[in-house]
Amino acid sequence: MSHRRPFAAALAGAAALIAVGCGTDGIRVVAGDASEVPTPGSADPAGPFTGGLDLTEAVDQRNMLDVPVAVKDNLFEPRVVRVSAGTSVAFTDQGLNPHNVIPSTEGQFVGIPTGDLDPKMSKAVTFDKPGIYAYHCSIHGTANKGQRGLVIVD
Amino acid sequence: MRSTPNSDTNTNTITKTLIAQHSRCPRPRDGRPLTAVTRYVPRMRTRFIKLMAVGSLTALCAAVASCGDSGSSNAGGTATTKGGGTSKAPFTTLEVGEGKAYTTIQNAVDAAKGGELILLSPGVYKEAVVVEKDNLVIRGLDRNKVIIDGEFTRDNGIKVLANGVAVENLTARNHKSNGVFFTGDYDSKVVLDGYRASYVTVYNNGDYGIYAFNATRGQFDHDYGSGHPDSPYYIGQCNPCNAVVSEVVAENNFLGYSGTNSTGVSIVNSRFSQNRIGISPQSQDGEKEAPNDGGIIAGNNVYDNNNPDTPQKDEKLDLAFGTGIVAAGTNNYKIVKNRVVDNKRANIVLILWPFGQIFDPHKNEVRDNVTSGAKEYADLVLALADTSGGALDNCFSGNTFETARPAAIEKVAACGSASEKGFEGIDATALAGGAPPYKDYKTMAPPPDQPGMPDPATSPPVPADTSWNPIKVELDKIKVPTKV
Repeated sequence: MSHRRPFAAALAGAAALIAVGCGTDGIRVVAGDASEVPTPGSADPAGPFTGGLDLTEAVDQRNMLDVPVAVKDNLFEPRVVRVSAGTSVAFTDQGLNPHNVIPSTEGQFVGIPTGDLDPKMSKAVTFDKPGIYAYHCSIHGTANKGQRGLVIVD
Repeated sequence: MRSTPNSDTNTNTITKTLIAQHSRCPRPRDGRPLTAVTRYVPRMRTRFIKLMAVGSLTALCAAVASCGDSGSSNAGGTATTKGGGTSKAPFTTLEVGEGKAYTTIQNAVDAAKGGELILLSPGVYKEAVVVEKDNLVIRGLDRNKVIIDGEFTRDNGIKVLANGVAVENLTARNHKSNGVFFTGDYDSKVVLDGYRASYVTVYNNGDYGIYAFNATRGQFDHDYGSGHPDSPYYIGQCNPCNAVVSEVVAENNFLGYSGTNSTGVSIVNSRFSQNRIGISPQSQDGEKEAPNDGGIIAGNNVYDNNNPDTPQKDEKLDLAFGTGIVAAGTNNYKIVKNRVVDNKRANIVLILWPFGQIFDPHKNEVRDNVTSGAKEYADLVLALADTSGGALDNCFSGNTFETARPAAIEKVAACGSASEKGFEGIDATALAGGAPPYKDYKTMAPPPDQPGMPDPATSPPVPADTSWNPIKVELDKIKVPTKV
């Protein structure tokens, strides 16, 4: 469930999310170390990896603690979201086919493997550190084409 | 390395030797080894001798670069496949297999250029191939012995995210998701343009056999599919799809054909038997481009789709077991001149799509089909949410049938005249629900060998590029199939 996040609650929520807790289905995947993730406007001449997606299409969800992303056949909706650090992004398969969420930069965060995101299933990933996290469904896309998305973390 | 009756082995050896000797020649940008590429250049020997006499490295390099444009009349000839499109000689072949220049399909794909042929030797290829390069042709030398095996661990056999790619004369089996998958770039409005799967066998894949999504201008022909818990052939989310499914066989699957929100697909001259359901186009709100707004189902043999020894994804799909053709929430479909018999629940059904957003069928035409033997419900069925508004311009005429719901279906919903209102309603839930236990797709028996494409070793490649078009369907030339 999404809700507005007061500042104090955000701090408490962020602390709680460090520990293993429950996501939308009782199992939460905690994002990995994003310290090397290039940030928007970074000095990296190559820029952050975005899989060719347009950062300006981001849906701003920075006032939300839990952000839903619908996983459909065969796309993520919204495809680009912008959230605050510590936000839990819940992926829910609303389609008829299995999907997965694979980080396009290996190891950037802990993804959701095939089998954990079948129709009607939901799984959350918590993004604790600022950066740009590109991901894709390896069944129906690649890092650069097809079913893929971005989480921009401020 | 080269495999054509027009090939000149000596010339080719000389060419490759010269190329190897002159290592200062610029390599192709893609970095592939020049020695691994076979070009059909019979006149190159003379050209190279002259060039060597001059001793000009620059000229030699230029000659190599122009090999593909030598214009020789022996350089592979010209090929035209069904559906149009022409491949002009010369062409390049990249050979894959044990002892060949490439040992994996992916390596050859990565090295190939548009218009080139990737030719696979017999063998079991345990890899997941991704194609992001336009206009390639991937062909097996033996349909039944070139096998891409997912071992129930890999998702897709060949995943194509590029335009104009053709896959021919091979088998894709045992994938968790799809055997061969063509797809556009979702949400970016980039639709895949041009695809073809010919003489492809798909079996025991966990989702679809040959799957086209967000793609246009396509063709499945002479394919065979069995053992799928969904369907061996699926075309979805496209408008216009401009796609043809022709002369294929589907048996022992959950569905023989499925297509969601796929406007402009023709399914013709094919056989669908021993599945749970034969053919089912639908409209759904789970994918974009709803509704499914037009298509042709003609000249097909659809019979005995009552097979309990078939896979199914899960209990949620306990639907419509024992039906032949089920058009669910579609508009403007022409279902004509099919032989649809002995599907025990119902043979041809126009029905609303009841899950999520409800789609009633509109303006579908069921004409000149031969049906019989649907003992449980009826040969012809029109099931609407509400009949007070009439038949919603759906019509039935000229069919051969024994039973119908409503009984006077060709009177109350005749083609060419206004329908009656308030005719007999149908309990769609009773019609659609129920199915026997199903099998695990991984346990299904492999199919028998299937006939291969003509001359796979020598036929020039015909990619589904912009000069190619799918088979043109001419309804007046299609006939009702005879009894098998």
